[in-house]
Amino acid sequence: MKFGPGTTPEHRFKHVVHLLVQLIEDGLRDEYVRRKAVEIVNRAGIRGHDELGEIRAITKWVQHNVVYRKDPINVEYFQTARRLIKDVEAGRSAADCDDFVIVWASMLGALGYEVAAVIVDSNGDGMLNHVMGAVKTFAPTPQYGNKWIPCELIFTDFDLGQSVKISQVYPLTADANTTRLPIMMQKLAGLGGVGGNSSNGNGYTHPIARMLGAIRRSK
Amino acid sequence: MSWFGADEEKQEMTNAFVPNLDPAPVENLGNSNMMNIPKDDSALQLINDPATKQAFGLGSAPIPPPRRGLGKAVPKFNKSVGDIQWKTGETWGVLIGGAALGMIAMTVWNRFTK
Repeated sequence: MKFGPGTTPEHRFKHVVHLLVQLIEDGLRDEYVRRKAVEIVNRAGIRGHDELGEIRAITKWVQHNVVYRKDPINVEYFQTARRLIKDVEAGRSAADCDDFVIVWASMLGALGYEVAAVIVDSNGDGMLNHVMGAVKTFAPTPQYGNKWIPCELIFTDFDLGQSVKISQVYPLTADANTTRLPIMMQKLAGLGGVGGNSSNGNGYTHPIARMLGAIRRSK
Repeated sequence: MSWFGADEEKQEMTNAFVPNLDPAPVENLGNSNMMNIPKDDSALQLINDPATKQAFGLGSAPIPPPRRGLGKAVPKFNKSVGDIQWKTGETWGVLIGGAALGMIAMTVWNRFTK
């Protein structure tokens, strides 16, 4: 992804978060992600219909199992929820705040919750510099009512609704009904996508990508 | 620059050199204590501010009220679905279609019975 020289960091950050939301939308429909989310809440002993229990279990799993590592300077890494879960399972996860939000929101979305990525200004300088997750229960809860519940994911000791001092928010909800192509199949500034070299390295290419590639080549 | 990790990762080329993947863990090299960071509910307040919710379309999705009695189990259909609108061109479609179906039925009957 390339930005013009005059692009402000804030515009760049907002653009990045749009992609992040698309990765959440892809992740919440991923069967592997849903199975992991179900495994986590089941192992935590959460009963059915305990919405806050499910949210708290997923949040604590992400806070305690995904390892925070900064991105390289001037590089924005994104990881799909599936990839990050596999890395956690292999003991080699390394993720920054946006990756935390992708995996957390994908798992909660896969369990049927409305989720959002919230870009925030966490140091009061007027610049959006951090990403948190936000989730909403369907039934009102005694603690939060019908409110959106922001979640700080990169620190282990933050409970639901807690954050560092925030002065500005820019929330973007994930649309589970989107009909666009999964982001890994899109053409993004030179990255191989549909009809391109979208093989994942083991010789396998998605059938739809193969079909569209054949159509494209025949024209 | 952005990088999107693939779901699967390529096998690493070791070139016959197998590194030690389980070295002894190194501890206590941190230069910061990330616990006890001041917490507040400013994000909770800001994201639920009516102006924010309106600006970003964060309205709650209403749960539809349950229908009563047996109606709960019966899917709702538009009652007009399936009705023929006799005052439109649909009439000719029904008549011509019916006539064609009749002709086919008669032809088939004649072929197999006479």
